[in-house]
Amino acid sequence: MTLTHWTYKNSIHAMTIPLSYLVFDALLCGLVIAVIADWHSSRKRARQDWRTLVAGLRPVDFAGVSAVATDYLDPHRSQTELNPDEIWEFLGGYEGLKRMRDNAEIMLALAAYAQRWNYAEAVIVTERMRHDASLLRSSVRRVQLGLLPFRLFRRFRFALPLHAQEASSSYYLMRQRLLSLYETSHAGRFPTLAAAL
Amino acid sequence: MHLSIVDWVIMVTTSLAEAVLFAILVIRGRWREFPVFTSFMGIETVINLLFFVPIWSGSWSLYAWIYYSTVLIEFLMQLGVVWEIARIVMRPTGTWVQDARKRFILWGTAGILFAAVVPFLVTPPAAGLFGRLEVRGNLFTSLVFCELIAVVTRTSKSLGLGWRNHVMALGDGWTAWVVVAILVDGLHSYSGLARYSGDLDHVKMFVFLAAVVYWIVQFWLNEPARQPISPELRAYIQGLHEHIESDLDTLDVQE
Repeated sequence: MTLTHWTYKNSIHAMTIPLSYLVFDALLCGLVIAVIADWHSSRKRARQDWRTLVAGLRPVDFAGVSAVATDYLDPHRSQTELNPDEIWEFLGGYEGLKRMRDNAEIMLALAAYAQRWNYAEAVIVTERMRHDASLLRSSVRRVQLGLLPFRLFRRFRFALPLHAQEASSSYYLMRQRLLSLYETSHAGRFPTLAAAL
Repeated sequence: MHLSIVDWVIMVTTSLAEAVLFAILVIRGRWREFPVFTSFMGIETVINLLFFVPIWSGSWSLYAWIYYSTVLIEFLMQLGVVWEIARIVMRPTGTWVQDARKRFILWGTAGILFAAVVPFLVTPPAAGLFGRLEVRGNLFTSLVFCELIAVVTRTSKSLGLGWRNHVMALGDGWTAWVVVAILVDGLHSYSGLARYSGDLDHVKMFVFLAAVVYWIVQFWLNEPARQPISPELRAYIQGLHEHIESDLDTLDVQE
């Protein structure tokens, strides 16, 4: 039975659309919408100027992120001082992690932007930050899996604080790299960026 | 063999536009950065000329023979163009950005498998197995190109990779064309190739023609100059990528 049949028969019974047709329509429309949305957001990002990019940064409690990240990156005597609940609270929970992931994209764009003033250094810093961003994304993905209520993802649940801490350390490094880059390449814009981050 | 006025207009203007674009890509030296796209336009120019032979002689069988024998070449060339877009966008410094190639291949393969399944969800009202295969084949092709360009767009955005003018123009035109191609080929799955075929195909052809004209303008214009990457910087970045890859491999093994 196809959609064209009911136009011939004009019958309410024949108007029943088989499930596979609905799936087909949904997949095609979904793909087309996703492609257009991706394309639009990518081009929008490409057109954004420096101020718009900075304005897009979402507020993150950096004191909390810094406490969790330095505990991970710079181990000291009492390495179990921060318990999982504190880590989660310092990072602002899942919402905080999502903000860090979204900000990471903008920070990459800001690092790429700095290639206009300090090409060689900015290229290298951007590459390093891409590596950090990749680790951040992967850690947030693992946290997301750990939050799912399925037995299959139990191992992610146990390691959830570790992944959250990894995410915070990647974010911390990205922020430090970006600020250092701006401090040397465009001191005029440094204060605005530091305030936004 | 009967062609309508619209068929003639589209055929002649597209042939001319593709030939002009090919000439621009060669004369302006764009072929150095876009060798596959230039070859694609060159091959399209030759194929277009070949099609005029059966049209003048009125031989439908020769037309069909040329059409079906060039389908695979065109498909491979278009696949190559998407790869070229990916290669240019994801290798801004001459080496692949870490994660980018892996992601492109992984998601691209998943997309091709998806594209192979979707056309079989519906049965096009076409005459015979060959007719149905043709409709499904067209939809498969459009889906593959659409998904691949979507993977490039999404990956480049998440990795903070910028698109320079020429590759952006190529990507924009390509995206517009594949989106319309998917909608047209999706509708063909309902109507078959016989009903509304001409009108639907005209829409697809017009969009491709518009994309070619847009490329002619964009590839004629120069891009803003890019600072050259010194061999030392390139070597440094390559070393950095290798170091990161080896770090990640170690981490994967430990996990």
